[in-house]
Amino acid sequence: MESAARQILGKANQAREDGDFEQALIFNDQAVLAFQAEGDLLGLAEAQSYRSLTFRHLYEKTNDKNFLLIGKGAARTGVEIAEGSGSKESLAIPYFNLAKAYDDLGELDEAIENYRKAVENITNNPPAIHNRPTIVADFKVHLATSEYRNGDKSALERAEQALKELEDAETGVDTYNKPVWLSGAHMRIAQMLKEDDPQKAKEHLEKAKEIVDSDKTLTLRKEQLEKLVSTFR
Amino acid sequence: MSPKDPKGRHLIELATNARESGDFIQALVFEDQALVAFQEEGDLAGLAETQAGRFLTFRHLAEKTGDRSYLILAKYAALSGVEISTRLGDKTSLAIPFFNLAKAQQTLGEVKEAVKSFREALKNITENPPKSHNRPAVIADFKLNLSVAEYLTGDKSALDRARAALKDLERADEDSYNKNVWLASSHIKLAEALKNNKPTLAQKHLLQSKAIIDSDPRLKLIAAKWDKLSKTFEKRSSKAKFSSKIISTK
Repeated sequence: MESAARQILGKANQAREDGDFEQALIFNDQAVLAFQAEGDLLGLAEAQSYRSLTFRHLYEKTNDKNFLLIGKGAARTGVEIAEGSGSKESLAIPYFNLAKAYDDLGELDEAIENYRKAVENITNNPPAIHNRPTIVADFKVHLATSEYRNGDKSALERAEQALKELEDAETGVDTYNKPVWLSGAHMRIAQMLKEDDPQKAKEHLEKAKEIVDSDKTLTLRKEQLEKLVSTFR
Repeated sequence: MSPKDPKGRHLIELATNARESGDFIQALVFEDQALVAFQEEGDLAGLAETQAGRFLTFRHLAEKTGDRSYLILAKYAALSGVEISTRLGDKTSLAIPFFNLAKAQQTLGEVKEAVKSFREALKNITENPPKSHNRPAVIADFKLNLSVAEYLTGDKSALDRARAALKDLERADEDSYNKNVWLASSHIKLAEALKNNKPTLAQKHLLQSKAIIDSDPRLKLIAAKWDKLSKTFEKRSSKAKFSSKIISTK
């Protein structure tokens, strides 16, 4: 049975997915105190990591960069607590979310450094609940697209390879996540190729649209896609 | 709440009251709501202030539970406060967030980083003081914290500066509660810093702190800190007595 803290964290994640970000933050803080009371450091690190995602959504909603700074702080907290826990399995997710925070802030060197640590740990020390090829592929897409945007053009091949791995991976429990990650991967590749190869970029954008249109539950992704499409006009 | 009071300000006041009454989870809830409200109201200074509030709440939680994770949460809340204040472009908003960050770093044992942040705090409280903190006692308190941190990094000359700052604080005209809190905690910090190198002087500061605490019943939190610290001195002195006994029987 899930611990009380895990249940509260589940509510935080649900509130975030429902777009109720304020409630997500409140549940998240309640989860932090509950994890601490249960002595579950990994849960505490994870909660901070997810908190950074809520701030990311708040940034997307408001365009206020301060939310990215607060989100980065939450992500760094998650990493530092995970590093101090001595459990290698606790590292991958916090590194990944910290990398995303740096990525959003345009701090690509730091983003790449943390994506690399995330890929290394999700490959070599995967946490039991995240030990799936879909996740590894998603992490690789993020790393490769950031490397490309940072000037390493050879990363296009790695990004496309990781996308293929994601497409080929068994859906398993990721009935919701897989289309989210796949559409996200196409969007990231479209964005990075916008100047260098506009034709290919548009093809990826179209593929993202196909996935989003075929799944009504991807409401947040749909908003992100519309935002990206508007930059192509 | 009067119609003139913006929602963010009202929420931060509720958070402060909740924190002061020891209801830390409720304080965090109000702070979360304040973050969203301040952003909607375009009050960036309020956003930074909320992060400072979260820093204090997590520090209290760390003191209550002894859990280092809360100190890490406090540190990054303070760091976000620094980053938001830096973006504000108003230099008078920098001193307090840097001071909070420094305190979190010092408690975590990151003394070199703490010195750097205390220096930024002192520079800003001297050159760009916010109206609410533009007083000699505040500057003296900042100087003392910086000097103690410098001493802890190995700069023994910082002791003179710490004691000079303590004198400035004693002479400063300040609200009696603030003054007693800062004076008592300054003596505690000095006692802690000098414990190994200058035990006699450390004992003296411990006693001076006790005298201030005993004279003001409002200093409950500091009294609890003093009790905790004084126990480490008792252990030390009983160890010393035990060692000298062994030596004398040989």
